[in-house]
Amino acid sequence: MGLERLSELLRRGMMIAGGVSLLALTLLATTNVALRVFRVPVSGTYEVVSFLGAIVTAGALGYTQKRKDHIVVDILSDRFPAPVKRVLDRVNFAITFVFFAIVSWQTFVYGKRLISTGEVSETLKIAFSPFVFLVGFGFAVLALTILLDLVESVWTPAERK
Amino acid sequence: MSGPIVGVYGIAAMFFILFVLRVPAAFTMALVGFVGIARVISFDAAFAIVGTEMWNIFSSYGLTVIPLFILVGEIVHYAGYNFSLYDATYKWFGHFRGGLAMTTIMASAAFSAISGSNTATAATMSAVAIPAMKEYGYHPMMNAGSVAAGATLGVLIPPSIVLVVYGLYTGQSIGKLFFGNVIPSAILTVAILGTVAWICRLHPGWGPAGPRFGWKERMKALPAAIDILALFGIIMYALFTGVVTATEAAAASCFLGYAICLARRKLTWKKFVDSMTDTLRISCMVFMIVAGAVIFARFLTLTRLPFAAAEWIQTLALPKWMVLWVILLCYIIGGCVMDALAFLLVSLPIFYPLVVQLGYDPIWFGQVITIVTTMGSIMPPIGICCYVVSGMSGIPLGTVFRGAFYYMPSYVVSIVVLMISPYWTVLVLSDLVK
Repeated sequence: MGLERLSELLRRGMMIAGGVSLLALTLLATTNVALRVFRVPVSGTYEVVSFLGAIVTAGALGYTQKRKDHIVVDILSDRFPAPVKRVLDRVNFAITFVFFAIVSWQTFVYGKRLISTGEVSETLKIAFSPFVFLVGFGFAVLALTILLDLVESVWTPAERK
Repeated sequence: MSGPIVGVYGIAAMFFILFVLRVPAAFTMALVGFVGIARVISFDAAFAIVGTEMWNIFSSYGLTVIPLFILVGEIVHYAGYNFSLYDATYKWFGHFRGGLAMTTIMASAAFSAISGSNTATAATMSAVAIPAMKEYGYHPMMNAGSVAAGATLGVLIPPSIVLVVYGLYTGQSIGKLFFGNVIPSAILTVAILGTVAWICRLHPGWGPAGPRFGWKERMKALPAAIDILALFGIIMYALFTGVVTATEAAAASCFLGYAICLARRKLTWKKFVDSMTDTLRISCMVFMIVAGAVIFARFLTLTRLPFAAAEWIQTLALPKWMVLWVILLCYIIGGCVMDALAFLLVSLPIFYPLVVQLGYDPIWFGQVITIVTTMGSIMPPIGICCYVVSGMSGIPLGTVFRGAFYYMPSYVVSIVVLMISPYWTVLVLSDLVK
């Protein structure tokens, strides 16, 4: 299925972005400690570390959902008959898809607002909206992953489950 | 319909979505918080809040310490240090009755000193300790129980993610929280070790003694343990002097961790990638819980429910210590039905101001709350550590929970000790930090 392959690519791409950010963050903060020993700290590292930190989390959103890693409480629902469970799953996917689509959209809106008001970061005076857009994109990948879960749960015949 | 009652409906809705629809706890809180804010103010306000709040939490400097502390633990795990640590402790203590279970607890404590999460510790120790204990004929309940109880130390012993989140949320110094934690961690570790000895008295067949090793072999097993202790020492020293932030200390220890593992040729490209992937997804889980809880707490504050609840508890005119136990009871029940970290974040706006008003020290309260929270992670029905142990070892979940149940008194005893003398258990060390 084309869409599934696309979402797999997006998830992987975002994971790589997250991993690279994590490494960059580690190196940057370590360098800053080392430089402070010699009394020449780099100004603005706090900001860049925070922005990179945002990409670390946003990068893993789709992948974590695909692996179903988020903690689910199923003590009660385990006792439901399978057909009921399937219907509830669809409701679950539909609601969370809509919610994260909204979150993604609103994060983009926030990023656009930053551009239009010309807001820059406090110390380095750089425009940080690209980071905000990347977080918005991470949520879009999450929403897409949930949407495909929904599609699969509706289209897969019951006996194959 | 307005005011605190909306908050009560919100909590009810949250439980429904959580239990019946099986929506992950993190998503549920964000979702209910979002709809709640829309109900209390307006949809426009709710839209604006989810957009900016997610970005604010993801890009919070203080929280960047979380992926880094997870990463250190993962590096050490993939480099195989868990095996070396276990081996070293075993050579020293394995010949006692229940010695392997005690080894498990102590190796967990050592591993926790570098890892900030209990699930990482549970996964690591399940892989290492359970096969060894099986080989020596330990009872499954003893196996699983000791691993699960040992893993709870992961969240308690610094670096601890719960303490980090608590510190950021309440504005307390993370350095002080970590140092104040040293004695409580020691108390709980000893209490858990005592429990192993007690179980061995009750059921002598559950934990037969292992062979005794000579001093030469004991000494040979030490270097690996020294690497880990050095890494831990560096983190704590850096935080103690206050010249670096918690994030910088964590980043530097990741860097050193990689350097040590490369120098000792313990790291391959695959292990490196695996350590990164695991870190990314675990910290994504934690961040989503934090984000969900923050949005949900925003909604609760708007309904004024936390204030109403705090006022109500005050009208009860109970003695100070009793109020504290009522709060702790709430955490125990909360920990039973919800993810412990999520419950902590949702409940802090309600209980924290109350506890401070009663005159308890915030650093001390942080330790008590962390012990209670970590106890929730081995309690049925959703004790996460037991799920991990059962999933990794194939021991039935019921057996794991029953095995872990033996350790419950050690948590209660630790809390009581902390209550008897807040100064000598916590503040004596935390006050040293600048």
